Amino acid sequence: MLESYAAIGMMISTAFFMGGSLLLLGWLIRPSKPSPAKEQPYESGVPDVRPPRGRYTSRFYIVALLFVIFDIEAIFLFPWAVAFDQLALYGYIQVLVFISLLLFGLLYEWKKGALEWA
Amino acid sequence: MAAEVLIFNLLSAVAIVSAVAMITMRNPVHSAIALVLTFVNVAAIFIMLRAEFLAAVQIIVYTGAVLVLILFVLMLVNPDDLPEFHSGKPMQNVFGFGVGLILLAEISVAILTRTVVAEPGPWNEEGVAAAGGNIQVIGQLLYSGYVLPIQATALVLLAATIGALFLGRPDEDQEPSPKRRTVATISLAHTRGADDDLIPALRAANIKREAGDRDLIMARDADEFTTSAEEEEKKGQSE
Repeated sequence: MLESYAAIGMMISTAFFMGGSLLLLGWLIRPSKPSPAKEQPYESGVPDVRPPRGRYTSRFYIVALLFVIFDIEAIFLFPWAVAFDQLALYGYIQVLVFISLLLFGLLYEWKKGALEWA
Repeated sequence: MAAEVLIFNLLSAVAIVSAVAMITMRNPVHSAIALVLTFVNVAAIFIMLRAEFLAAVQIIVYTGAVLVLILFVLMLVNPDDLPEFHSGKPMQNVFGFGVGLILLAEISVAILTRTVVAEPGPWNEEGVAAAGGNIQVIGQLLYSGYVLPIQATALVLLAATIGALFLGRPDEDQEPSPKRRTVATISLAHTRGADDDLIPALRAANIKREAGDRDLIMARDADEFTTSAEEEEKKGQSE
């Protein structure tokens, strides 16, 4: 069984080797002469009044966290779907309860307006 | 078998090295990349233990979702703003070392006495293959014998949803004020020097209103106004 993963392992190690060796080669060959002028964001013009990296709205965080939660829900549904025939009605009802519990969370966040970007 | 041991040693060595790199890197984004490397190596070790579903979950949930979350937090917080991000208090170092030692002792005892190694269940490699595969067996076991854990997981996830919403909700009071975004600076300096009389004259003319909701800052020099948006907002409130 493990032999079937040999191709994947070889592909990953080849990819890492190629990418890593090119980076290493570049690091060895290229000259490195940093100067303050090179660090400037603009060659000319007014320097930034504030840091270029602005603050992001926390809505991104909510969306990412909800993604993690529903990702895990999908992970739990996957084995159920694969073993659907053996589990029959009992498994179906269990999954219905499982989903409806999480559906409550989805409705809550919908009602709270977390899914709106206005 | 020898090749398997060799591959296992390689994978665990890379996992340990990248885990150490993750906590020693100074740049948090580099730490996140080292964490990805650790997760991928642990997933490969899971595959070697014939836990393919766990390996897939490891990749999807940890490298996919949790890392996205970590990077989002880095984006939101901007670690440069945290002065004590890397310099822990000496108390923390001692405490962390102690906790690490206890964990090491726990793991060593578990390995040496082998109390965590249970009797092998009915699902050996042949049994799993006969049942149709790893995921098939997990599905059957999970939804026949583990009703309560599954529904408890749903409740935990529900609590996480509501908690995420509560912690990350955009507070109505702390909504990014339009002032912060629409600050405009007018420099009154020109080549022949700043015109000192112009500033009170313009202030008196009250062009603020004409500019709508923009907050105009009049400075003699572009360098005179280099405060951050928040500082300048505070200044505006105190005036």
